[in-house]
Amino acid sequence: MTNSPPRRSTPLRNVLYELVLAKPTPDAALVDAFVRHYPEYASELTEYAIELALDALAAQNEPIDGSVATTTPGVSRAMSRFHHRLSAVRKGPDAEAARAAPAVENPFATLTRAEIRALGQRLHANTVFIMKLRDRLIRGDTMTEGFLRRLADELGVLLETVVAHFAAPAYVPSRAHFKADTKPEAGEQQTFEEAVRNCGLTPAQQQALLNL
Amino acid sequence: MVRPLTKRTGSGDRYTRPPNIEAVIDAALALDWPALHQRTCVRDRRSPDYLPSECLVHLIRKAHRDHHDTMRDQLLAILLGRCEATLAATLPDGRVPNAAYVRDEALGRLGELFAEDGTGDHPDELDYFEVRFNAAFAALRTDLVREEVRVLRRASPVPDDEAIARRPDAVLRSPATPEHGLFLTQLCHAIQTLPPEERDAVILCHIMGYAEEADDPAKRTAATICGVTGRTIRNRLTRAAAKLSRFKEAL
Repeated sequence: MTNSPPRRSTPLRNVLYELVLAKPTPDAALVDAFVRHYPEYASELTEYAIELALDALAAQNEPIDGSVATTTPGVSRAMSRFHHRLSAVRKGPDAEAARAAPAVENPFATLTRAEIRALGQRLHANTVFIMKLRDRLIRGDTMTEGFLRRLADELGVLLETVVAHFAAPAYVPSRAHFKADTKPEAGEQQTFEEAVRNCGLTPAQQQALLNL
Repeated sequence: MVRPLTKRTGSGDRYTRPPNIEAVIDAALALDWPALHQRTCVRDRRSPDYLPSECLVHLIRKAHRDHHDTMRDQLLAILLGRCEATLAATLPDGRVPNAAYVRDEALGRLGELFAEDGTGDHPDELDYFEVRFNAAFAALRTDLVREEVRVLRRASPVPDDEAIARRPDAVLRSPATPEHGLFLTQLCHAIQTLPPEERDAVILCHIMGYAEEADDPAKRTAATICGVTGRTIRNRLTRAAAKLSRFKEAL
């Protein structure tokens, strides 16, 4: 990092990347230099540097010949997230989705990442499955009433709110940008059972959801 | 000519790839797909034919821009496979409470970064990964770990000494690896199992090199960072040392 005149506020994530690219294992001098440069992120930088120092210690144990030739379930799930996100990015921005559909409350909209994960655990599901529910990529008419009621209970909303959510067209997250030449369309929806079977859930999780 | 990066540092300078990475990318771009695919099968990082992950990131982004979807997907799967191996080493079960979730989330988040490349609020975030892939990936997963640790600290009280003493299995839980790597992994686990305030004191003083305290009140020390006195920091280090020495004896 170099000394520089006063600057515009830099997003935290950019500052964190800058820190880690400056030195793999941050030491006191480096962290202090960053804290002087970005005093608004002093506590985040210190917290982050502590975790980074532990990570660097563990990384020394990384094998020289690390990766395997076959595609593992973990890689398959990550590839699935790539394609899912790519599809959303290509479909279009919120404005287009909003124009295509009347305003419908999305009961998942205010959930943080931690809350989404917690919801997944309570439902015996995972984050991928909850994201599909959030983005209306599962057809509401294929869900059992038991599941809809359970979901409404867990979200703390009326059953009607959940039913209306799934009746609306597929949702495109706000970070997406419309790049296609044609008018955006609603996302491809799966049946409830297809979604349960294709979200990387264990057989026990699948059975629990299908039995609701 | 390799496409230049657009991401800039906080000082306004453009990031640049290391010269050796530029050279490998240049050479890789001249290969046809069969030859390139053969190079991707080299898994020994010491081999001259090994394609660094920075190079793979560049090739994946280029294949995506050029609509070579099959090539893009094959290269991305290879890169994610490497990352999965890295995650197994850096985030073994026990390092954080939900290690399996964090590993999955880190891998999935990286996949999503490729999907979002060139769009949104951070269109050139993958530039970091073309400069020093391992560091940038460490940044990504560390951010997730930091979030997990914060959730844990909010959700559960600080364990007492007896609780720590009852967890030797957690300290010693680790995949089978060469002796040196085993020690590092276990030491990392041992530090992680310390109560948060002791863990932070150990990392700040013994890994990052902060002084316990200083006469100059303006100087950042372990005491000022943790908001306690130097004496408290020393007490925490003493307690941590006792636990870590028990771990060392157990080896």
